[in-house]
Amino acid sequence: MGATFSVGSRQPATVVGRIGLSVFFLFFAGIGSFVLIFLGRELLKSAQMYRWLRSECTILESLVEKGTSSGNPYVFRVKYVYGGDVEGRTGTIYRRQYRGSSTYDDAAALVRKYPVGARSMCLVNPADPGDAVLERESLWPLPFLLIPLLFVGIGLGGVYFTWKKPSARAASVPSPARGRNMGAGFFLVFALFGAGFLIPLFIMPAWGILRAQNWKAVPCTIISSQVRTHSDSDGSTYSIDILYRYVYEGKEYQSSRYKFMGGSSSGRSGKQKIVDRYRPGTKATCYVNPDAPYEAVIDRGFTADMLFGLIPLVFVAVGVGGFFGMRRAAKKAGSRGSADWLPQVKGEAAMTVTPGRAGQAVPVILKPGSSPLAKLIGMILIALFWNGIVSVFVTIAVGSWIKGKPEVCMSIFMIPFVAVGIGLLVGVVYSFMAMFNPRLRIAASSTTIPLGGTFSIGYQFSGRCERISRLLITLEGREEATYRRGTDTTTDRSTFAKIVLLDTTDPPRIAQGKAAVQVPPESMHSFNASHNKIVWSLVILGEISRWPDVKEQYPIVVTPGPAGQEEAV
Amino acid sequence: MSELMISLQEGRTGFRPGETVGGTVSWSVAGPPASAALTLGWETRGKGDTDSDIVNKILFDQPRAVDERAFSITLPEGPYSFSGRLISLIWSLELEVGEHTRRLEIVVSPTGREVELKSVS
Repeated sequence: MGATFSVGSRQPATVVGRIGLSVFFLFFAGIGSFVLIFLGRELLKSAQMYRWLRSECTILESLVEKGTSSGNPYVFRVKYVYGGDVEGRTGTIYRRQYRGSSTYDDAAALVRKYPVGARSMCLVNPADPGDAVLERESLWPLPFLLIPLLFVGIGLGGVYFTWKKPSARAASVPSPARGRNMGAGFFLVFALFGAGFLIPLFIMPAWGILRAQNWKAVPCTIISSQVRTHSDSDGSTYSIDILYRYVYEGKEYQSSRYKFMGGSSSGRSGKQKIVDRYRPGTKATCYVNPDAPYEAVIDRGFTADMLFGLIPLVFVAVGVGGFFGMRRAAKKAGSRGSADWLPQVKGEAAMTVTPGRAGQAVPVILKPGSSPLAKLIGMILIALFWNGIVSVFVTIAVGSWIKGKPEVCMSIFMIPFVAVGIGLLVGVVYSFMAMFNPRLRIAASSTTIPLGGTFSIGYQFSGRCERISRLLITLEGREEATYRRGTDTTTDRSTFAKIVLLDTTDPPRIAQGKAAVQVPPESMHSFNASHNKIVWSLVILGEISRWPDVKEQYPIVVTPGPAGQEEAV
Repeated sequence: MSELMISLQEGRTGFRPGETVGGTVSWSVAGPPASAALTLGWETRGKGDTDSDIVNKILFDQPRAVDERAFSITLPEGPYSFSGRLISLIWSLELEVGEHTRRLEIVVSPTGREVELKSVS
């Protein structure tokens, strides 16, 4: 029996570090708790109304009044009697938290729902029969409680794991499939978040515009018109408020819908010009829905501000793309065998090369890590995402200079962000130009080569390959280490092997040829864990003067074990 | 006072993939432990966040306060022990007796030595 060995255990985090982390997580949980309590109290009040008694009521009065609120200028006024003829009481509350409607049409919809003389059901507080409402508050914000709850969970969980005694050996068996499924969930939330904004900001207005193309043109009279100002701590935004009346099939209606894109935005002068065109008492043409004549609009065309509504589309695209990408990666990771530290590579059986002998590696057509089109789409999405966000602030900054009240600090602050945005646009142009590069078709003896084995390829360019002045083909091995720094995830790379298969400036040799190389037997095989990887790849570099170079990488798996005989291509 | 030991045959710490690692583990703790186990696994060290995997675990039945057991574990085909500029992959045997642990690092590679990866430009 031989020597005895002992190895020290893993170094624990310092107490000071743990206290610091705990304070951070408690702060996190505290914010979540505060929001949770605030939201919870409001929802509890709404939920309590579900215990109120239902009572038949009769509408005595129902009309739209113009209020003083800038955000909700049209108020639905209602009066109803409830509790029967004997002890009938009068109620005037439509909904407990109703303060008014942002458009006349919304308030008018309530008048249509509760017309004078109609019998309806109202809700009566059992503790105070004099307290009644026509409708109770909705509980739809209930799912939003999950957001502060998540903060609380992360905060308390963080404190628990900060002080939890670590197990002797990290029991975190790498599970790429689980990690990627979680990633898919994240991207799904991202997409839903984008869709949540895309629907009201673009799809609904666009749908309204399409519907309105068949509406009837009717003369209308402007009752009132003004630019409404909505001010808060972030500044002021403005909205158009034009109230008009029209007659359709002998009946008079009113509406305040100028166009389908609602809400308010910065920039008063443009809205003021529109309001100036529609002064009270003037005549205009509005478009009326023949199936619902109470629905009308003055401007039924697409407007430039609708393009802002497309910004959430970037979130949807990134979310959907990420979701399916992660799901596919999870499926692949989940289907791997016991040696799950070995990566998998793309490739298809070659149709133009001789298959290997039985039991040996079969030649394959290599597929690059990403196609030129995928690179272009990726660049466009990133550029759209970045520039979409930056453009909002640039618009504000430029607007401030035009108005003569320049936001100097903001303008200077935006310079590096704009520079990155321009760089991304250059990247889009570069990727687009690279689409027209000669295309490479490359067949390899196998995408799976053992250490010490011979890796041979056959290649052929299509397109204008005479533009390529030099062709360099290398087999490269590199380390990839991914780590978190604060909230950022960074990957460092270090190349440990660079073996040249071909380096030529000879045009016929560039156009097509063969090459082979032995994988160093004492090197490291491919390795694929969640954060650390050994990556082998075939790297193609075709230099083209004054044009994007041909740059392709084809992942190769180098396996452990003895080298066998590889079939030459 | 507790004492845990992992002893390998012939005192070797370098092994080839697929080879069988044999030896004994012994311990002396205050009272009969709730459990005793020997695990074989690897973990990464270096710049990246840690990845690890347990590839084999031997549970020792009815462990006594002072005990000695023989073991034999067959190593898998990989991954090899290696050390590069960013990443090192370390294989180890770890003895867990109750709350006490002892760990022994080993090398798994065709040569019995760690594969060294040097950076190239």
